[in-house]
Amino acid sequence: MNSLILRSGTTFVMPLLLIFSLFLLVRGHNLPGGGFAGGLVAAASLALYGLSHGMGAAKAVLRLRSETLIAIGMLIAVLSGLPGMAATGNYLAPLWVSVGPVKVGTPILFDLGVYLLVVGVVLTMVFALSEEEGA
Amino acid sequence: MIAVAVGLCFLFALAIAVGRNRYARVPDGLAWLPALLVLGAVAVVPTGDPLRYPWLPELGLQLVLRADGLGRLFALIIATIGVLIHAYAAGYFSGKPDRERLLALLLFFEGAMLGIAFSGDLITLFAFWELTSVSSFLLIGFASGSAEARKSAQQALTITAAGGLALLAGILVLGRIGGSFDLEVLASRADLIARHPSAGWAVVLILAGCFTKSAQFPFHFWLPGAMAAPTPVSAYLHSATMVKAGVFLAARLTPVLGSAPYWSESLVAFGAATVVVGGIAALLQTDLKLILAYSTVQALGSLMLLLGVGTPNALHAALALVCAHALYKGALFTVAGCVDKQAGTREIARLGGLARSMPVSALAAALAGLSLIGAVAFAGFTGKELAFKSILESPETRWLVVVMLLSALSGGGVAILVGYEVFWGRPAEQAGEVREAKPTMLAAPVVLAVAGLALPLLSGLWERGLIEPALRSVSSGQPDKPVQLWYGVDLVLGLSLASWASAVVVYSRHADLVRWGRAQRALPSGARLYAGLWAGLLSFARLLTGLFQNGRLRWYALSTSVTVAALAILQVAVAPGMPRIGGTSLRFFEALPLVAVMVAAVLAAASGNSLAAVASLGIVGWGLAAVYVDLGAPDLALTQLVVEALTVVLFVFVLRRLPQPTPKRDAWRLPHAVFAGVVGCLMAFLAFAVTQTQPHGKVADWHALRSVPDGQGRNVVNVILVDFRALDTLGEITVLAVAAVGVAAMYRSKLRKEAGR
Repeated sequence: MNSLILRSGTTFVMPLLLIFSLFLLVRGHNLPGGGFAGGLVAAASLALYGLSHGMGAAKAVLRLRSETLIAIGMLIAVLSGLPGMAATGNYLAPLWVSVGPVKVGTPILFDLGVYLLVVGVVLTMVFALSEEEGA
Repeated sequence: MIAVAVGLCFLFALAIAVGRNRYARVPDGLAWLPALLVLGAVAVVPTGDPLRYPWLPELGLQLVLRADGLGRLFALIIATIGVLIHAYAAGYFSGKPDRERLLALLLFFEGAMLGIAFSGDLITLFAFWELTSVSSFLLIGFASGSAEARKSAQQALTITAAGGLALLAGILVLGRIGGSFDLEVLASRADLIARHPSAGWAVVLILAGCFTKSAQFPFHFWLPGAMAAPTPVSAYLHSATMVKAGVFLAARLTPVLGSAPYWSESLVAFGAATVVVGGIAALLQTDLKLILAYSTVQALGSLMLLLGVGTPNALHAALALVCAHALYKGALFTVAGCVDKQAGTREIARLGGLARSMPVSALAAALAGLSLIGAVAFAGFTGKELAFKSILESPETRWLVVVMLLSALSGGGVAILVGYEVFWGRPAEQAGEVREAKPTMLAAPVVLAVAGLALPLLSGLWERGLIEPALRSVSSGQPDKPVQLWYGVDLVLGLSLASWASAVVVYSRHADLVRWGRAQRALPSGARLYAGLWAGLLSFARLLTGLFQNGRLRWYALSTSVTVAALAILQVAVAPGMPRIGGTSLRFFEALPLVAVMVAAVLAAASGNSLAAVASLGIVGWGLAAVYVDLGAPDLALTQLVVEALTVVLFVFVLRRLPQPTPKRDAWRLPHAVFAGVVGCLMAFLAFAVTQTQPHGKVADWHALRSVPDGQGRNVVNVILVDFRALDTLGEITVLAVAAVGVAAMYRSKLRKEAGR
């Protein structure tokens, strides 16, 4: 898609969307949002970038292969259950620590895993389906 | 110490598998050291208190390892032959890249076998039992490049695993009847178990496991098939150890089920049939390994038969025969491997007069053959004498002497063929000069053959150290005679003489027998039945696949939704009461998105243009998002919106590869519309039903209430996702990951195929 408006627009919008997706991820525990929605937004922003600048450019922005992102997300989600298991004996049991006024816990780590995995999943499909025959 | 013995095998196997490049530098002459350490551990295992380890305490499952006489006898056989086979295998595969893989697999298998021998309860035994099936699958199919090896491995696995399933069912029945899986507890309740009405089921199912594993008729055919394995594997698994697992289990359960219905009858009947079938088939073969394989089938049959007779004398004879058979059959198999390797053939017709060029192999073969034929002063003689005596002592079992005579005759024939004909028979024309095998390969046959002579000479040690403790864990009775070198001149010796004479006759007419056997190929056999069943299963699977996986998207959508609808209708039909429809007032702002959704849905279905249909579906999605917002589910609405946007992106890529919508005159269009309408109405109906029955209302309240105190978050949806039901989410994201990788892989492979065309 060769549109100057779309290209210039995306260049500005994409970082904003990425920041928004992180915002959704972080605030998800108390307000609408969360890892799943955040991951979808982030994936959508990269897909948009890919549409305007070409999928090669989107892959360059991502740096990692989208499949690697899936693996990292999965790993974080799986590992986030271990501290709870060590402390209480139950896998995925939440553990919370207060750092000043902010509470940090393993469920947030889990959500981060979901976020990365969703980005990876959507982009893997988008990248695969956008490939041309013989490419 | 038990755990050390079993664990060492698995540890060494793992270590060799991981460090195979380093292990490749270990010279052949030292490759048997790990197995020697295992043997050392087995030899010092003390009998006595079991080792218990809770496995699934919630289900009352535990790992119990216990060493008793029977377990130690089998474990010593397994570990001793294990050392020799390791040396032999290293020589056999010397310098080949597969050597380490074979050694690791052999150790893995040995660990599983030792586990069976030392299992103190049935669940533990079953776990190790299945491990032997898996490891023998890998060993039979060791030459994974050969289609025949793969087929034999699959056949052996199918049969032993099917038997394993029956065994599991039998174990569960027995555990239910006896109230425990612990073998000592079960043995103490043997009388109660035997009287229980379900005891017959336990017997039949467990024996199905024993018979498949120990290659009893009519399941025996997998054992000759498994000769596709390398000879070290055949010698270890298919003569000395794995096939004896069934015999071992039958012996192990004799104190528990010995008096249960069908037990002795089945063992005697199947054992006798196996002796006849295996004994005759052994004499009709011309391939050394096949001769030995059928001869093994026959030997296993006679062991089962003796267990079925079940008197202390018969059990005593069976245990003596187990030792003798492991020694002479292991020796003969390893000799056959040497001959195969040095002379390049296993065909008996092309072998002969090898004694001059392979004197050591010839000596080992002759000693093992003498033991097999039951010559005086060899272990085989002792075993055969005891077996005949135990059968002749009671009038009910006297008829079995016919079967045992056939067994002796066949064994004698095989012994002359393998132990005499190959080495001293008429020299056959051979390509090139044949040389003696390497010392690493000769150690196993020589030691095993000499041990067959040494055991009776040390009969006191044999009886007191091995047989008697083993008999004590099987039976409370005492044998009339211990194992001895010589039993005097009596009827049994006469029978032996008769069997030797007839074996010589059979040997002299071997060529005629083979010709006769070739003419009988048309007879029905288990192997042919198995092949037929297998082919039938495959064509049935092909039929189903063709019917349901025909590559048409529309058919997939149709069959899936019709199935779901049919199940839902069935559920609604049996559920009491109908949901109330209507009765809720609808405000204008709520109605607006709903109307838009409905119009868009109709447009999407009616549109003849894919792009228009996608756009209409988009409207449906946005309308639903509006409804979610109205119902107070912003999370859902947010996700729905982003998904809609991404769907459009994906559709843009996919559309050009999808077929155009069907023309309006397609005959299927009307039926499709009807199906779609029915499914749609049904879903609406279910939605109504769900909103009106809230059996889990309390669950929703609980989540809302506990969200902040337990989950540290005010967004209940997210707290449920990442905390309360995090394991579900983990499952869901796993599905997502698998789906994405699958989509990408399939699409790319299709692209590559099209590019290649």
